[in-house]
Amino acid sequence: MKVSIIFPALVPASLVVIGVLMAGEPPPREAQKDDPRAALPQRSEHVDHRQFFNAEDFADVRDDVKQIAHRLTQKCLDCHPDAAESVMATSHWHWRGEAMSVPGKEEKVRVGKANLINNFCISVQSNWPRCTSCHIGYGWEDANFNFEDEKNIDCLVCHESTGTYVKPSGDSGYPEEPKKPEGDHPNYKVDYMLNFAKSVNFPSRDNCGTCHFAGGGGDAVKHGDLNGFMYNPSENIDIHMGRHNLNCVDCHRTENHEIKGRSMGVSFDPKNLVRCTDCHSEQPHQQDRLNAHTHTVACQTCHIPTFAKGAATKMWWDWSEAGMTQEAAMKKFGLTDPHDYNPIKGVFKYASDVEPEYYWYNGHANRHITGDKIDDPTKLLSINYPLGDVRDPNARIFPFKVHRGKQPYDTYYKHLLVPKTYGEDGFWGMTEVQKHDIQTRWHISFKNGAAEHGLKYRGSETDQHTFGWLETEMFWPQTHMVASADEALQCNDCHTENGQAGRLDWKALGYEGDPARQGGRLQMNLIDQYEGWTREEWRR
Amino acid sequence: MSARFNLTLCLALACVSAASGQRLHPQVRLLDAQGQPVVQTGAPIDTLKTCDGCHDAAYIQAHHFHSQAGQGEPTHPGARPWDLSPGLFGRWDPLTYRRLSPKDDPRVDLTPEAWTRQGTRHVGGGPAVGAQLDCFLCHVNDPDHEARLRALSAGQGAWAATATLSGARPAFIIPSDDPARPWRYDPAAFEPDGHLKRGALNLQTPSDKNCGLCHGAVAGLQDEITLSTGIEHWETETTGQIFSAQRIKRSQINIEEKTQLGRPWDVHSERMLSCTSCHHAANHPSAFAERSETRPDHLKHDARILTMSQYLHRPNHNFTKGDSAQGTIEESLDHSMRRCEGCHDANAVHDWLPYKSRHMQALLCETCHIPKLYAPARQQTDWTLIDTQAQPLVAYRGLEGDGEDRAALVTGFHPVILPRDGEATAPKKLAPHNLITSWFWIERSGATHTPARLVDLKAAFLIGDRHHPDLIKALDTDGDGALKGAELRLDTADKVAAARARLIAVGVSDPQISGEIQPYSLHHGVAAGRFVLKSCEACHDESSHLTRPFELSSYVPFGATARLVGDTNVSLNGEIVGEAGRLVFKPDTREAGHYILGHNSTPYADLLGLLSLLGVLLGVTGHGGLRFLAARRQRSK
Repeated sequence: MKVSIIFPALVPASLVVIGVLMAGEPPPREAQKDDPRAALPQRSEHVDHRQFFNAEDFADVRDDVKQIAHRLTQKCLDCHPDAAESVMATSHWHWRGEAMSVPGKEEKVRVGKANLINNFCISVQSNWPRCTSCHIGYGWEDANFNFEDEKNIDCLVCHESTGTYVKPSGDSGYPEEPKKPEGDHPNYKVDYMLNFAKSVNFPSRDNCGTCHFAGGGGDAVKHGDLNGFMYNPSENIDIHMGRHNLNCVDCHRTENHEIKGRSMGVSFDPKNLVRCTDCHSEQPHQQDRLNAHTHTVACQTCHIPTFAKGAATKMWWDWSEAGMTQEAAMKKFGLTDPHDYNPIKGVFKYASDVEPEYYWYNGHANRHITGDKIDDPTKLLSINYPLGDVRDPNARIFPFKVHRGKQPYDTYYKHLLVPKTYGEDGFWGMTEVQKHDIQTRWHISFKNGAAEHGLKYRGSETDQHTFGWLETEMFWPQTHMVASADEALQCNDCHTENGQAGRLDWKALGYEGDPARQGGRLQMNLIDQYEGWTREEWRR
Repeated sequence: MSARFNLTLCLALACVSAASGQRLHPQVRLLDAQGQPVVQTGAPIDTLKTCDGCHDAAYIQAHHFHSQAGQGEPTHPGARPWDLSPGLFGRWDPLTYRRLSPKDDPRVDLTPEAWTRQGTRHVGGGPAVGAQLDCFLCHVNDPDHEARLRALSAGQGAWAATATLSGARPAFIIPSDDPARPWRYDPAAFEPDGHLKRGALNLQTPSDKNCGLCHGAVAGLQDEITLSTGIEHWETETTGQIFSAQRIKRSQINIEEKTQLGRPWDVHSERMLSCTSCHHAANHPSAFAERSETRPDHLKHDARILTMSQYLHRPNHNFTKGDSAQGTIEESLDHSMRRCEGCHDANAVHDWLPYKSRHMQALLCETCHIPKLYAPARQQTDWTLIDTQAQPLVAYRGLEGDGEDRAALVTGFHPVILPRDGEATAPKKLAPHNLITSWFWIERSGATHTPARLVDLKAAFLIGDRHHPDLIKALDTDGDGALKGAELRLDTADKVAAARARLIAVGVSDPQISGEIQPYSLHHGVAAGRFVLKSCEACHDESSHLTRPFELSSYVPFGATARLVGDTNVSLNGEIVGEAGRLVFKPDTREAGHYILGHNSTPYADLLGLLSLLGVLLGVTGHGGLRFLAARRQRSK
């Protein structure tokens, strides 16, 4: 009887106690989180293609790797009939993009790797067999390459997954010939190629990296933020690929073979850019102060504190000194590393773990187009450069590798020259066998290069002294080799005390001084709004 | 009037300098004590004469607790009986050991002259004998602190400030072989009228590096941070604090699991604050904030502040300060600096924290935001014996190995959480601290107790560079004829007796071992983000961060006890116990008036909870049982 009295009393008593303990303050609020992984593309398992390729289908071409390659493409297209059309619409195929506007030109230009000049190897044109080993096709050896023939597409370079597929230098994009095995193996070339075909999968780092990590003709040469370490990077090299195991195509998302992403060297507008905000939120930091930077500072600026991690990238290429013997050049320039001079190319400077240069960039760029006049050859010529300034609300401070060097121009017509470098009648071929004197070698190469390019060239057999050397620079936005928050730049890297030099030259960027102390773009009335934020809203 | 004109001129020049990208301060004429340009007379620089042209040097001297060093201030209640002041000058410190002797002391330990010669951590002026207030030590970007200390040590106090300036580059103060004039001036650096040429001297507001000369390790982003123990890095030695924006993982210190430490040594340094951002001149117009005790409630900000020229004429060098456990000087300035709440709105960013206001009532921000120190800090100083270099035996917490060994493994340490005195009516807040235990001999003569003099320790324990044979006989356990390592411990009655006999033999009266625990508040080394103590379990479970045992001393001299210094603002909320030869402090938050849910238990609450649980269980079971029985009865009908 006692029990029946006590227990009913205890139950409400305990509820009261619990209630008292819980009362007082509301439950904690869930913090808003940046959840980039949720934005990653989800892929189903790739179909096993081993069943789709039989050696009998290649019996008539079994002795010719090139023909096997073309046949393989046809086999792919049998099952993927729309693939050719989509591939052949891409800039990966044409090495030219859509027609784009360039400041100072009334008409849009359709340019790309195929017809532009850079300050590395200078141009593809006239040097196709060497350069097109990185083309996604077979047989682009001259200006007559048939871009309409779908058999010329190389499916394997992007889709094979053995990691052993090689398109050797100088073979116009055809695959490497296999070594003949011992014994009687009449089908060895077919077996060799079918091994690649049967392995096809979604593009991996190996597929992309084989060309893009070796841009400029060697590992790490061109881009600064791409090199062989990116095949299997530690998180200190790249947080996305190192810690989070992302593939290139997780960010460079692809639809109908149109791969997202731009390179400022060949594309001058922000269309189809890969953006950090494809996965990350616009305000990804826990600190409001850091989030306030995102209107002015690109993510890359803080999160790519250095580029060329692991392997040195080329920072300077002086073509004007090519043609000497290695020994003579090393002595003349006081070089100690043989990589810093190449008789057929000139003087190089390499650097690793390089601090970028910082400029405003609104996604658009200016570009020197082949044949453009050079105003003043005594001044540094920017082959490309980012557009935007402190008054441009769409511009952000962005990190760049700036590759500088000296390259040839026509002193009469005042435009950049394209040397034919590859082949027996190219500068490299002639220099390797010391054919002609250096002046004549250059003359022949410019004459041949100009002919292929449709460029005017003043030089003649009687007057070969119509070319000179001018200093040029190219800007390469840095977007890979991303550092984690723990490795990103810190406030003091840019906002220094007592006028000490920091990463950013505020005055060169258009500020009166350090905006942390003098106020940012809105406070200083440099702009009226940030992408939809008016000054009043921002101040609130 | 002249000073005002000069100041106006200075400001005008400053504007020109600023506009031209030069540093703010105009070039100065370096004057000697007679007011003549030193480049003409060759005499030492007189800082007061040099600076007095624009700044009121007498005012600055009079309002400068760094210079006065506690001279003339009364000691705090609870201070040691032999302390003469609450500051560096006159307050005995067992880390440096030397005790300033009163004027009439028959057994002189340290005279003001000898104190001045030591030089360390004092800016000159005030009680220093023959060494002026050294403005350059704090106001040039490249002071030669070592040269200054050498000058003081050599008894050339008049040349100390000149020596400080010898660090300027390109050098215009050059060492000389003339002992009467140890420095000479390069005339090429001076204008004909005695002014220094532009760029020769960069006078500036004190940078972190200036402060770090006396206060501890500071470093820029690119500076090398290495393991450095020793009292010349005072704050670092006593607290493990390093003020730097640099990420801990990038330092050259061999820190356990360093690669995980992507946080800066101090987040405020990372966010571009410098020492003077918080510890600024008390009358700095842009930083001045009237204290809440005197500010009318209706007034958020009093605009009636000094103009910049008034301030520059008379900058009050009593810098704003907090109220640390170890800082006993200039009590009137306690709490004059902005604390965390003065800049941060903690409420705005702690929505995730349950019972937010309760946490903030009970804890200083530092308790969660300084969860661990990643440089070693001193744990104990034992002067009961000295080594052959006349140094005490020192042990560190957070360090495996020798503090002199740069490769020694730093494990870091979790601070002890102690209740700190608040406002009279406010509860004691819990705050992080380091505790340093010191063991030393007390000389007793009647009612007078003083620490045994260092000179007596040397005379008693050493003969040349060896220990006294009587000590070796009593302490040399390995029989190698020398005392080293653990042999230098008075951990038995026989050893204590041997040391005591030696002290008596040299005239120390009735020596007895005493122990003292000095708390050091931790306010730097602040973390943010994921490095902050955030998980509930950190405090609210059995092994709470708040009650983690804290080793005070790795051994205890035989028969000795240690107690908290009397002039501090914290209390030891727990018990000091001996454990396996060690001395350990075991905090108990209940003694500080804090009941920690999940950690503390109260019998009646536990019983009530148990009864409630049983009640619910039995209620449900009984109700179910009755329903079951009723159903059976229903069916049987």
